[in-house]
Amino acid sequence: MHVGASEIVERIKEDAREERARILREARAEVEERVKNAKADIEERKKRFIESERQKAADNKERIIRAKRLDAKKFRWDVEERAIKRAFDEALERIQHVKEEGFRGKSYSSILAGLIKDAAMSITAGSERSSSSSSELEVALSNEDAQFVTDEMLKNISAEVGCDVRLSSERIKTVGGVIVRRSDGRIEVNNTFEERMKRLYPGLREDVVRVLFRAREA
Amino acid sequence: MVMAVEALKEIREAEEEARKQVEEAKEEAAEMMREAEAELKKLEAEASEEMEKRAKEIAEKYTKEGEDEGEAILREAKEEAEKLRAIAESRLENAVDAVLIRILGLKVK
Repeated sequence: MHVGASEIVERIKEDAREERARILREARAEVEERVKNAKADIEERKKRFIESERQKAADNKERIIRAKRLDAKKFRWDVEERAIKRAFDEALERIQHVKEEGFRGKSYSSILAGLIKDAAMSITAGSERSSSSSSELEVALSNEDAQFVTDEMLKNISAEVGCDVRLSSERIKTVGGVIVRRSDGRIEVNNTFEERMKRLYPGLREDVVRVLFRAREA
Repeated sequence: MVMAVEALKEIREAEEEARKQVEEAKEEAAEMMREAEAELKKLEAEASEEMEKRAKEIAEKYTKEGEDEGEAILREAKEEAEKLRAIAESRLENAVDAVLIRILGLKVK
């Protein structure tokens, strides 16, 4: 071979080797960089995903606990409400016993007398300056309670309140207690026990709650 | 003249050989990239599977914690409610008296 041509051939071969080496070197570097970046991206996404799932799970845990706390409050509330209702129910049931035995040393007759007198005083106080019919009051009660009211009792009450208080022929359906009204029917005080319980309920409920749950242990 | 022709032929053969080497190198580089892409796809799939598994584990762990704590709260509440019920029961008579005093219109001393 011609000396010059031989050199050229060698040069071509050397250039080719270098070019091949460069192409492969650059390809390896690019692959390495892409894999490195992709792995970092995957790790970052994994981290964010796990944190988001942890937050969701923690929220769910709190929701479960809140629901149980609510159930716990409901337990207490149920116990309280049942006990309060029972106190009111038993009080109404006890009325029959009060009619037979009295209450705290007072006979049922004197209790009715007190209710009639209170009602009569409320009516007369409210109608002092009005018509003459305010001087006559009627007492309506149940058949059962009528036997506890005597003429003498009404006479005494009439004297105390300063107007004529008499028994109405009307009989009402009630556990007990009285309705007192002016004879013209314009003013009426309902002192039946059911009505009194309704009227006094907010304050009574507070009393019952205090006695049942807030009183100091004996 | 013959020698010159021979030299030119050798140079052309060398050039052809060089071109082939470069082409092969390019093909080898492309194959490297394809392998890398396949490896990355595999990594991606593995990561998805792992994330799904971890998410399930986390959800189960927190749910169990919530249920355990919730049960403890309920257990305590039931015990307290039972104590409260017993206290209320022991004071029922006093409460009934308090109601009767008011509805019978008696004065509280």
